[in-house]
Amino acid sequence: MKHCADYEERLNDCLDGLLSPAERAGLERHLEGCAPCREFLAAIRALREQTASLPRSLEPARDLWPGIREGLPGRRAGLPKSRAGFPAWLRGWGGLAPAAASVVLVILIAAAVVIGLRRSAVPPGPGDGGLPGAGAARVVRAAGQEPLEMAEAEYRAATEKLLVALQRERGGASPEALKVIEENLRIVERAIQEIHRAAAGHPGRRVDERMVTNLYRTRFELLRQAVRLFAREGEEKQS
Amino acid sequence: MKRVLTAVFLSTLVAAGTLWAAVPINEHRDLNPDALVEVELVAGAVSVTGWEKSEMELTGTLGDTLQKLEISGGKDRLKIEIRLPEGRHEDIEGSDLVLRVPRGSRISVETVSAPITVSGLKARIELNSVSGNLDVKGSPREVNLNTVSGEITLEDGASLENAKLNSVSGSIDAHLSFRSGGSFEFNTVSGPITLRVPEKVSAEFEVSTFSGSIASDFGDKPIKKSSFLPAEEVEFTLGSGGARVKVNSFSGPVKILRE
Repeated sequence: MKHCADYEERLNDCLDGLLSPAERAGLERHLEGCAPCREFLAAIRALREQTASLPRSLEPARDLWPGIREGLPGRRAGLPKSRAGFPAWLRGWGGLAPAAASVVLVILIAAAVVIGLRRSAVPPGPGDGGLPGAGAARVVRAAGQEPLEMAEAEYRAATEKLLVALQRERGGASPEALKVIEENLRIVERAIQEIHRAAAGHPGRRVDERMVTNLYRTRFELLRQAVRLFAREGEEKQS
Repeated sequence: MKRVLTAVFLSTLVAAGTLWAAVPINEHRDLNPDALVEVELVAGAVSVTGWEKSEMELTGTLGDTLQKLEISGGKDRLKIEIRLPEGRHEDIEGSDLVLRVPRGSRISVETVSAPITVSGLKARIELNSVSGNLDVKGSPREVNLNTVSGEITLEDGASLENAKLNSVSGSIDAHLSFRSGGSFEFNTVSGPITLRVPEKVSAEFEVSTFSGSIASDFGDKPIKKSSFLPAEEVEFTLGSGGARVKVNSFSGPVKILRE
């Protein structure tokens, strides 16, 4: 049985604590009589509990995926809004749903690898050169850097899809808005590079993973916002 | 003939002027006291103020007659969007939205370049702008303010329990009471952070930067994390602690000033 599409957003909002007492009461009344929605709520709650154990800097924003979903061109091609079997924030991606799912998965997998390696490795202090065991520690640290690089590569691959979508939609954008978006994308990119350069120039200094992943997330959000805005204008042209 | 051409030219100018002129907005909707109000705008400005009425009032101006105002939702949740004109994407005038909502409303505003000002609200405020400035005053319970290059200013009326302020290159300037038990985070890459802290505050501070500077009127002198890195950090507790304050900058200067 399928849950009620009308309640999909409300169930997510419920978990986000966004419902007013009246809305929440209404939802609870609905849940009392609707087993598919209860199961759906349990499923998205379980998924969120799993992602809650990830570092916040790598956890997708609450509204990231619906926002992208709304903006991607597949939506306006009349594709179905809901796709059973996907969590709410992956539904309705139409032809891009698999790509969206892969974006989420690679980010979550990369995050899980970062956590796993971080838990298994104790980063050495800056003054440990030449001490017994320091070589081994350095190997662990070098390995510990790799997950971030992997996460960055995956983020870049993921945002490539949005960049392609942005290129497709930029004709529908106002030049001023496009300029602001592009300038700020460059600011974010420069900030990422600055952090990497600083770490490279100081042996023993680890890249600030949280800051870097937050910047990638900011970049992702910027692109998401741009695609959504520009696609919306294109949507109006078609209608 | 000349007269005809002049007349045509003048009427075209008048028509164009009418088309491009700002259009006044005056919309009202009933709202529940704790409604969620969402606003999306590209350019222009957004101002949100709390009031005692169980009603939303939207005034201000649309950039021109071709822009469309869309208001959807009901008493619990209202969404306000400005749709840009079809087929014309240059020289678009921004829309100025002046919004009044019940004080207990939760507000979420997203813009590209439009600055956002919010005052007089008591619940949750979430503001996202790419380059617009974010300015919040009043007594909200929770704020989440994010921008890339805009400036963030926050003035708290002592009711704030949870605050997250993030910028990439924009400045953060906050005057807070740091309510006991609250959690406050300030993050930037290269923007300056200035916190103005009242004398009698109970809070634990953790301040760190990689290549920026830390100047604090409280606690000890910032210490270097290592002998060969520029990174600095300082931790101190004011009063009996209670609130948790984390400040993190990559290269932006951090100032903690005594009020």
